[in-house]
Amino acid sequence: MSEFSIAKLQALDEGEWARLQEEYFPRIYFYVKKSIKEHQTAEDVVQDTFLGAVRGISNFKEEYTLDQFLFGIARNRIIDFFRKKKPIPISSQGDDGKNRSYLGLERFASERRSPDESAVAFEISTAKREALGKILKVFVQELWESEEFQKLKVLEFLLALGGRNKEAVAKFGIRDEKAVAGIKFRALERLRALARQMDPSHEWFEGLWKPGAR
Amino acid sequence: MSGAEERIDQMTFTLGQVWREMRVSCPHPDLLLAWKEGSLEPGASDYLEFHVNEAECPYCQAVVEDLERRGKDAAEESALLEELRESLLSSTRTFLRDQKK
Repeated sequence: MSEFSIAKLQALDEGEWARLQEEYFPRIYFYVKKSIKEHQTAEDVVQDTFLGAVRGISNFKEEYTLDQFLFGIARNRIIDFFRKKKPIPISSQGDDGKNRSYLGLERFASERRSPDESAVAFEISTAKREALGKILKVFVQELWESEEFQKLKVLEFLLALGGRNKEAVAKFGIRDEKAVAGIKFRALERLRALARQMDPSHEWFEGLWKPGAR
Repeated sequence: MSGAEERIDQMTFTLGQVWREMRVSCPHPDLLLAWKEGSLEPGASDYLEFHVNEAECPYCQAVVEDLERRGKDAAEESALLEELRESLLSSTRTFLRDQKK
Protein backbone atom coordinates (compact mmCIF):
# COMPACT_ATOMS: atom_id res chain seq x y z
CA MET A 1 0.00 0.00 0.00
CA SER A 2 1.22 3.48 -0.83
CA GLU A 3 2.26 6.04 1.73
CA PHE A 4 0.80 9.50 1.51
CA SER A 5 2.11 12.82 2.74
CA ILE A 6 -0.37 14.39 5.16
CA ALA A 7 1.49 17.69 4.76
CA LYS A 8 0.94 17.62 0.99
CA LEU A 9 -2.68 16.67 1.40
CA GLN A 10 -3.20 19.52 3.85
CA ALA A 11 -1.49 21.84 1.38
CA LEU A 12 -4.17 20.70 -1.12
CA ASP A 13 -1.55 19.32 -3.49
CA GLU A 14 -3.48 18.08 -6.54
CA GLY A 15 -1.01 15.33 -7.35
CA GLU A 16 -1.14 13.87 -3.86
CA TRP A 17 -4.94 14.00 -3.77
CA ALA A 18 -5.08 12.31 -7.17
CA ARG A 19 -2.81 9.54 -5.85
CA LEU A 20 -4.89 9.12 -2.72
CA GLN A 21 -8.08 8.96 -4.68
CA GLU A 22 -6.62 6.42 -7.10
CA GLU A 23 -5.68 4.18 -4.20
CA TYR A 24 -8.89 4.46 -2.23
CA PHE A 25 -11.80 5.19 -4.53
CA PRO A 26 -12.56 1.56 -5.47
CA ARG A 27 -12.52 0.46 -1.86
CA ILE A 28 -14.75 3.35 -0.78
CA TYR A 29 -17.10 2.63 -3.69
CA PHE A 30 -17.38 -1.09 -2.82
CA TYR A 31 -17.99 -0.14 0.82
CA VAL A 32 -20.71 2.38 -0.04
CA LYS A 33 -22.37 -0.09 -2.43
CA LYS A 34 -22.95 -2.50 0.44
CA SER A 35 -25.48 -0.05 1.85
CA ILE A 36 -26.56 1.92 -1.22
CA LYS A 37 -27.32 -0.35 -4.15
CA GLU A 38 -28.14 2.27 -6.77
CA HIS A 39 -24.94 3.07 -8.66
CA GLN A 40 -25.50 6.78 -9.30
CA THR A 41 -26.36 7.47 -5.67
CA ALA A 42 -23.36 5.42 -4.52
CA GLU A 43 -21.18 7.42 -6.90
CA ASP A 44 -22.50 10.68 -5.45
CA VAL A 45 -21.74 9.48 -1.93
CA VAL A 46 -18.19 8.51 -2.95
CA GLN A 47 -17.69 11.91 -4.51
CA ASP A 48 -19.06 13.60 -1.42
CA THR A 49 -16.71 11.51 0.70
CA PHE A 50 -13.61 12.79 -1.06
CA LEU A 51 -14.85 16.38 -1.01
CA GLY A 52 -15.51 15.95 2.71
CA ALA A 53 -11.97 14.61 3.08
CA VAL A 54 -10.54 17.72 1.40
CA ARG A 55 -12.61 19.91 3.72
CA GLY A 56 -11.61 17.98 6.80
CA ILE A 57 -7.95 17.21 6.13
CA SER A 58 -6.74 20.24 8.06
CA ASN A 59 -8.20 18.59 11.20
CA PHE A 60 -6.67 15.18 10.49
CA LYS A 61 -5.31 13.52 13.62
CA GLU A 62 -2.10 11.53 13.21
CA GLU A 63 -3.22 8.79 15.60
CA TYR A 64 -5.76 7.75 13.00
CA THR A 65 -4.92 6.27 9.61
CA LEU A 66 -6.08 7.74 6.32
CA ASP A 67 -8.04 4.54 5.94
CA GLN A 68 -10.04 5.28 9.09
CA PHE A 69 -10.40 8.94 8.10
CA LEU A 70 -11.86 8.19 4.66
CA PHE A 71 -14.06 5.29 5.69
CA GLY A 72 -15.30 7.32 8.65
CA ILE A 73 -16.44 10.11 6.32
CA ALA A 74 -18.02 7.57 3.95
CA ARG A 75 -19.90 5.98 6.83
CA ASN A 76 -21.26 9.35 7.96
CA ARG A 77 -22.35 10.18 4.42
CA ILE A 78 -24.24 6.88 4.25
CA ILE A 79 -25.94 7.62 7.55
CA ASP A 80 -26.87 11.12 6.30
CA PHE A 81 -28.35 9.59 3.14
CA PHE A 82 -30.59 7.21 5.05
CA ARG A 83 -31.67 9.83 7.58
CA LYS A 84 -32.99 12.00 4.75
CA LYS A 85 -35.26 9.18 3.71
CA LYS A 86 -38.71 8.76 5.23
CA PRO A 87 -38.35 7.62 8.86
CA ILE A 88 -39.17 4.00 9.54
CA PRO A 89 -40.98 3.18 12.80
CA ILE A 90 -38.58 1.99 15.45
CA SER A 91 -39.11 -1.61 16.41
CA SER A 92 -37.29 -3.92 18.73
CA GLN A 93 -35.67 -5.36 15.64
CA GLY A 94 -32.20 -4.61 16.90
CA ASP A 95 -32.48 -7.33 19.49
CA ASP A 96 -33.77 -10.25 17.47
CA GLY A 97 -30.36 -11.44 16.33
CA LYS A 98 -30.83 -10.41 12.70
CA ASN A 99 -28.32 -7.57 13.03
CA ARG A 100 -25.44 -9.73 14.38
CA SER A 101 -23.13 -8.43 11.70
CA TYR A 102 -21.30 -5.16 11.09
CA LEU A 103 -23.43 -4.50 8.02
CA GLY A 104 -26.65 -5.21 9.90
CA LEU A 105 -25.68 -2.85 12.71
CA GLU A 106 -24.66 -0.13 10.28
CA ARG A 107 -27.97 -0.41 8.44
CA PHE A 108 -29.85 -0.36 11.72
CA ALA A 109 -27.98 2.79 12.79
CA SER A 110 -28.46 4.41 9.39
CA GLU A 111 -32.12 3.69 8.89
CA ARG A 112 -33.38 4.28 12.39
CA ARG A 113 -32.45 6.31 15.38
CA SER A 114 -28.98 5.21 16.40
CA PRO A 115 -28.77 3.00 19.47
CA ASP A 116 -27.05 5.97 21.17
CA GLU A 117 -30.27 7.93 21.13
CA SER A 118 -32.52 5.24 22.45
CA ALA A 119 -30.35 3.29 24.89
CA VAL A 120 -29.01 4.46 28.19
CA ALA A 121 -26.06 6.60 27.18
CA PHE A 122 -22.64 5.79 28.59
CA GLU A 123 -21.08 8.99 27.32
CA ILE A 124 -17.37 9.23 26.94
CA SER A 125 -15.28 12.03 25.54
CA THR A 126 -13.35 11.80 22.30
CA ALA A 127 -10.06 11.39 24.18
CA LYS A 128 -11.46 8.52 26.22
CA ARG A 129 -12.93 6.94 23.09
CA GLU A 130 -9.51 7.04 21.42
CA ALA A 131 -7.90 5.63 24.55
CA LEU A 132 -10.45 2.84 24.62
CA GLY A 133 -9.76 2.14 20.96
CA LYS A 134 -6.04 1.80 21.69
CA ILE A 135 -6.72 -0.53 24.60
CA LEU A 136 -8.96 -2.72 22.44
CA LYS A 137 -6.34 -2.86 19.69
CA VAL A 138 -3.65 -3.95 22.14
CA PHE A 139 -6.01 -6.60 23.47
CA VAL A 140 -6.85 -7.90 19.98
CA GLN A 141 -3.16 -7.93 19.10
CA GLU A 142 -2.47 -10.06 22.18
CA LEU A 143 -5.09 -12.56 21.05
CA TRP A 144 -3.55 -12.68 17.53
CA GLU A 145 -0.06 -13.21 18.89
CA SER A 146 -1.19 -16.01 21.18
CA GLU A 147 -3.26 -17.43 18.27
CA GLU A 148 -6.42 -17.42 20.39
CA PHE A 149 -8.60 -17.03 17.32
CA GLN A 150 -11.60 -18.86 18.71
CA LYS A 151 -11.67 -16.53 21.71
CA LEU A 152 -11.30 -13.55 19.37
CA LYS A 153 -14.28 -14.69 17.33
CA VAL A 154 -16.41 -15.15 20.44
CA LEU A 155 -15.43 -11.75 21.86
CA GLU A 156 -15.98 -9.97 18.56
CA PHE A 157 -19.42 -11.56 18.39
CA LEU A 158 -20.25 -10.58 21.97
CA LEU A 159 -18.64 -7.15 22.20
CA ALA A 160 -18.55 -5.74 18.67
CA LEU A 161 -21.74 -7.28 17.34
CA GLY A 162 -23.84 -7.26 20.50
CA GLY A 163 -24.32 -11.02 20.44
CA ARG A 164 -26.08 -12.66 23.37
CA ASN A 165 -24.44 -15.33 25.49
CA LYS A 166 -27.10 -17.83 24.49
CA GLU A 167 -26.46 -17.17 20.79
CA ALA A 168 -22.71 -17.62 21.33
CA VAL A 169 -23.28 -21.06 22.89
CA ALA A 170 -25.04 -22.27 19.75
CA LYS A 171 -22.82 -20.46 17.28
CA PHE A 172 -19.42 -21.44 18.64
CA GLY A 173 -20.23 -24.79 20.28
CA ILE A 174 -19.42 -23.53 23.79
CA ARG A 175 -20.47 -25.66 26.75
CA ASP A 176 -23.03 -23.31 28.26
CA GLU A 177 -23.91 -19.65 28.90
CA LYS A 178 -21.88 -19.60 32.09
CA ALA A 179 -18.75 -20.47 30.08
CA VAL A 180 -19.53 -17.64 27.64
CA ALA A 181 -20.04 -15.21 30.53
CA GLY A 182 -16.67 -16.32 31.86
CA ILE A 183 -14.95 -15.52 28.56
CA LYS A 184 -16.53 -12.06 28.55
CA PHE A 185 -15.75 -11.44 32.21
CA ARG A 186 -12.05 -12.36 31.82
CA ALA A 187 -11.80 -10.19 28.71
CA LEU A 188 -13.23 -7.19 30.56
CA GLU A 189 -10.79 -7.82 33.42
CA ARG A 190 -7.89 -7.79 30.95
CA LEU A 191 -9.20 -4.59 29.37
CA ARG A 192 -9.41 -2.96 32.81
CA ALA A 193 -5.80 -4.02 33.50
CA LEU A 194 -4.69 -2.51 30.19
CA ALA A 195 -6.63 0.65 30.96
CA ARG A 196 -4.78 0.98 34.28
CA GLN A 197 -1.42 0.61 32.50
CA MET A 198 -2.34 3.25 29.94
CA ASP A 199 -3.94 5.66 32.38
CA PRO A 200 -1.25 6.34 35.01
CA SER A 201 -2.47 9.90 35.51
CA HIS A 202 -6.00 8.63 36.25
CA GLU A 203 -7.54 11.02 33.75
CA TRP A 204 -9.43 8.66 31.47
CA PHE A 205 -11.23 6.05 33.48
CA GLU A 206 -11.85 7.57 36.87
CA GLY A 207 -14.07 4.69 37.99
CA LEU A 208 -11.12 2.31 37.88
CA TRP A 209 -9.30 4.20 40.58
CA LYS A 210 -12.09 4.56 43.12
CA PRO A 211 -11.70 2.55 46.34
CA GLY A 212 -13.11 -0.90 45.86
CA ALA A 213 -12.85 -0.77 42.07
CA ARG A 214 -11.56 -4.02 40.55
CA MET B 1 -31.09 -6.54 35.88
CA SER B 2 -28.75 -5.99 38.81
CA GLY B 3 -26.60 -2.85 39.07
CA ALA B 4 -23.45 -4.81 38.20
CA GLU B 5 -25.15 -6.46 35.22
CA GLU B 6 -26.39 -3.08 34.01
CA ARG B 7 -22.86 -1.62 34.29
CA ILE B 8 -21.42 -4.53 32.29
CA ASP B 9 -24.19 -4.07 29.74
CA GLN B 10 -23.43 -0.36 29.38
CA MET B 11 -19.68 -0.98 29.19
CA THR B 12 -20.01 -3.64 26.51
CA PHE B 13 -22.34 -1.35 24.55
CA THR B 14 -19.66 1.35 24.50
CA LEU B 15 -16.89 -1.15 23.78
CA GLY B 16 -18.95 -2.35 20.82
CA GLN B 17 -19.35 1.15 19.42
CA VAL B 18 -15.63 1.86 19.72
CA TRP B 19 -14.69 -1.59 18.38
CA ARG B 20 -16.79 -1.06 15.24
CA GLU B 21 -15.94 2.61 14.65
CA MET B 22 -12.21 2.20 15.13
CA ARG B 23 -12.10 -1.12 13.26
CA VAL B 24 -10.25 -2.70 16.13
CA SER B 25 -10.09 -6.21 14.70
CA CYS B 26 -9.75 -5.39 11.00
CA PRO B 27 -6.58 -7.01 9.71
CA HIS B 28 -4.01 -5.37 7.45
CA PRO B 29 -4.87 -5.70 3.72
CA ASP B 30 -1.76 -7.88 3.32
CA LEU B 31 -3.35 -10.43 5.65
CA LEU B 32 -6.61 -10.26 3.71
CA LEU B 33 -4.67 -10.90 0.51
CA ALA B 34 -2.87 -13.85 2.09
CA TRP B 35 -6.20 -15.20 3.25
CA LYS B 36 -7.72 -14.94 -0.24
CA GLU B 37 -4.66 -16.67 -1.68
CA GLY B 38 -4.95 -19.47 0.87
CA SER B 39 -1.54 -18.89 2.40
CA LEU B 40 -2.62 -18.11 5.96
CA GLU B 41 -2.41 -20.64 8.77
CA PRO B 42 -5.70 -22.40 9.57
CA GLY B 43 -6.50 -20.53 12.81
CA ALA B 44 -5.97 -17.09 11.32
CA SER B 45 -7.76 -18.10 8.12
CA ASP B 46 -10.71 -19.36 10.11
CA TYR B 47 -10.85 -16.07 12.01
CA LEU B 48 -10.78 -14.00 8.81
CA GLU B 49 -13.52 -16.17 7.32
CA PHE B 50 -15.62 -15.26 10.36
CA HIS B 51 -14.70 -11.55 10.33
CA VAL B 52 -15.29 -11.01 6.60
CA ASN B 53 -18.07 -13.43 5.71
CA GLU B 54 -20.00 -14.07 8.92
CA ALA B 55 -19.53 -10.80 10.79
CA GLU B 56 -19.70 -9.11 7.35
CA CYS B 57 -17.18 -6.37 8.09
CA PRO B 58 -18.00 -3.95 5.25
CA TYR B 59 -14.55 -2.34 5.31
CA CYS B 60 -12.73 -5.64 4.92
CA GLN B 61 -15.22 -6.83 2.32
CA ALA B 62 -14.54 -3.65 0.36
CA VAL B 63 -10.78 -4.19 0.65
CA VAL B 64 -11.14 -7.79 -0.54
CA GLU B 65 -13.25 -6.70 -3.53
CA ASP B 66 -10.62 -4.10 -4.38
CA LEU B 67 -7.80 -6.66 -4.08
CA GLU B 68 -9.69 -9.07 -6.33
CA ARG B 69 -10.28 -6.28 -8.84
CA ARG B 70 -6.56 -5.41 -8.91
CA GLY B 71 -5.67 -9.02 -9.49
CA LYS B 72 -7.62 -9.05 -12.73
CA ASP B 73 -6.43 -7.91 -16.07
CA ALA B 74 -6.65 -4.12 -16.27
CA ALA B 75 -8.70 -4.45 -19.43
CA GLU B 76 -11.45 -6.15 -17.46
CA GLU B 77 -11.88 -3.23 -15.08
CA SER B 78 -15.46 -2.24 -15.25
CA ALA B 79 -16.51 0.77 -17.26
CA LEU B 80 -18.43 1.99 -14.19
CA LEU B 81 -15.26 2.27 -12.13
CA GLU B 82 -13.44 3.96 -14.96
CA GLU B 83 -16.22 6.54 -15.27
CA LEU B 84 -16.16 7.06 -11.53
CA ARG B 85 -12.39 7.54 -11.57
CA GLU B 86 -12.65 10.27 -14.20
CA SER B 87 -15.52 12.10 -12.56
CA LEU B 88 -13.83 11.97 -9.14
CA LEU B 89 -10.57 13.34 -10.52
CA SER B 90 -12.40 16.19 -12.17
CA SER B 91 -14.62 17.13 -9.22
CA THR B 92 -11.82 16.89 -6.65
CA ARG B 93 -9.43 18.92 -8.81
CA THR B 94 -12.05 21.66 -9.23
CA PHE B 95 -12.83 21.64 -5.52
CA LEU B 96 -9.14 21.81 -4.56
CA ARG B 97 -8.63 24.83 -6.81
CA ASP B 98 -11.69 26.53 -5.32
CA GLN B 99 -10.41 25.86 -1.79
CA LYS B 100 -7.07 27.47 -2.61
CA LYS B 101 -8.66 30.73 -3.74
